[in-house]
Amino acid sequence: MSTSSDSKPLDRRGFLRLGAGLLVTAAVAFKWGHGLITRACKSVPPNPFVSAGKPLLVVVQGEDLGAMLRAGIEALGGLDPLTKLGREAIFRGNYVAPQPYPVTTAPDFVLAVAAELKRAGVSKSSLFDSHGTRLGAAIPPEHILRRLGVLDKLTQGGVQVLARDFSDPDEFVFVQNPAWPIAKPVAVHRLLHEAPIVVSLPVVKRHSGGAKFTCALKMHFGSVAMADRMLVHTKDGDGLSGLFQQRLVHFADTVRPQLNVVDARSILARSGPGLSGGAEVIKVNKIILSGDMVAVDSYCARLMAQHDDTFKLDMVASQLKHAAALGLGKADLDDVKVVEINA
Amino acid sequence: MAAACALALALCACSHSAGPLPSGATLGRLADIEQPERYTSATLYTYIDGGADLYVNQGFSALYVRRYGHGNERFIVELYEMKDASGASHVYQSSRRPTAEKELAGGCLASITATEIQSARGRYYVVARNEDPLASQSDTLIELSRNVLNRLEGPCAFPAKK
Repeated sequence: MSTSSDSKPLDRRGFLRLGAGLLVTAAVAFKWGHGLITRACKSVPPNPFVSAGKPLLVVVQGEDLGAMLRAGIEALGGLDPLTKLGREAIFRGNYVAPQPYPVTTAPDFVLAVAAELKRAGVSKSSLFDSHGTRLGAAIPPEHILRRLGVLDKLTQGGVQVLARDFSDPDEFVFVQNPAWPIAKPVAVHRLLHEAPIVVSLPVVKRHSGGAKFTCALKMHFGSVAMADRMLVHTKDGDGLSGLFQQRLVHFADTVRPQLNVVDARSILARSGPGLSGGAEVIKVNKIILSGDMVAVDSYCARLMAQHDDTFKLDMVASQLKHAAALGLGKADLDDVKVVEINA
Repeated sequence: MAAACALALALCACSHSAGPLPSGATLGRLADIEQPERYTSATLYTYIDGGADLYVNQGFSALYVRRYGHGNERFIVELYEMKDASGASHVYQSSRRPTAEKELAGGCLASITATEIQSARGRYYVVARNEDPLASQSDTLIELSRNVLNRLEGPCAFPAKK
């Protein structure tokens, strides 16, 4: 799956040039700076969900989640392309804060997608997340999942929860794509780097600061080490230098899920990524399925613009352009086969 | 090693201090739900990973979080203590809904929606929220916000017009 190559010492300088308040990053980077190698990003097969050479993007409008998922998967052509890759899948959700959907991925959504994967032949599904550390008693790796009830609901529903320490150097591998304009590796979680099937379950949100917007790309901040996340927030928190918009694409590049299933039954408009700060929850009653995460974000950004007059497509133009340039997908929806159905 | 020790100290700073947030019993009919929490600039990212920049850039000092219950309703109060009043005022200004502002308490304007009330006083920016983001307007939420705002020191960031 992964290919070890291009062995070289980790460049610590970038990690260690941090502000005084970033002790987490500094300490972790210090520990990680010894004897680690950089690998190539994971190699994934081409997007199997295509029609006449264009990536498929299926939008399902409805009220019944199960019916919407089944209709969406059928329109996608079924999940056989996934089961050819393996029998175990890892879900990526968005668990940025201990606040309910649509700030975070809803447990009923995870279970519903898991049921469809099981029906398709995937024998085991697990949810991965990394939002805490055992170094702090108050923020263990599972604290948000536990507070939200996600841990119990998924475990009871037969989906394993993999809550991992965001500062444990043994858990991460350093990867780099030579096409990145920033010649620095990213520490992606080993489980995601090695997983044969990754299914991403984004939510659609506004985002303060440099990201502006969260859907399929930005959510992979949660796939990489806290040191990487903090570095971007520190150096370009307001997004003015362009580092934020580039790096969030690189984080997504380290994971490259085979399938994205967006829960847009509701979206978080006007502010985000949490409920504070004037955010508004708007019911949209859609789910979106695609193997192309750039197309997903392009569509979801339009969805946000329809419902939030403070959001402009220009805000995400540079991240979409950069993602498309790196081959992560299609930003121009004219190059995408968009299928809109009701269920 | 020194960095690792500092890290441990920083992470321990995510403690169970309520700061200026009163207990539910002090407020009357409210129950305390879980332990109060306190976050520093080193740990704020663990509470709102990805959303902390707004506060840090305006001179964040500490965040106190406390959860309250009333019947089936669950409320959360986030009290952001900034280094000075201008930081609190700026965060409020960038987060408020100007069309939803009303006087809440002590002559202070607040941004009031069905599930969230924001206000600022002195060096504090306060958000009180119904934990159900689709809940209807709640008198208890308004009363809770009013009580918290009344207990804070300092001038209103945005006084109501006389």
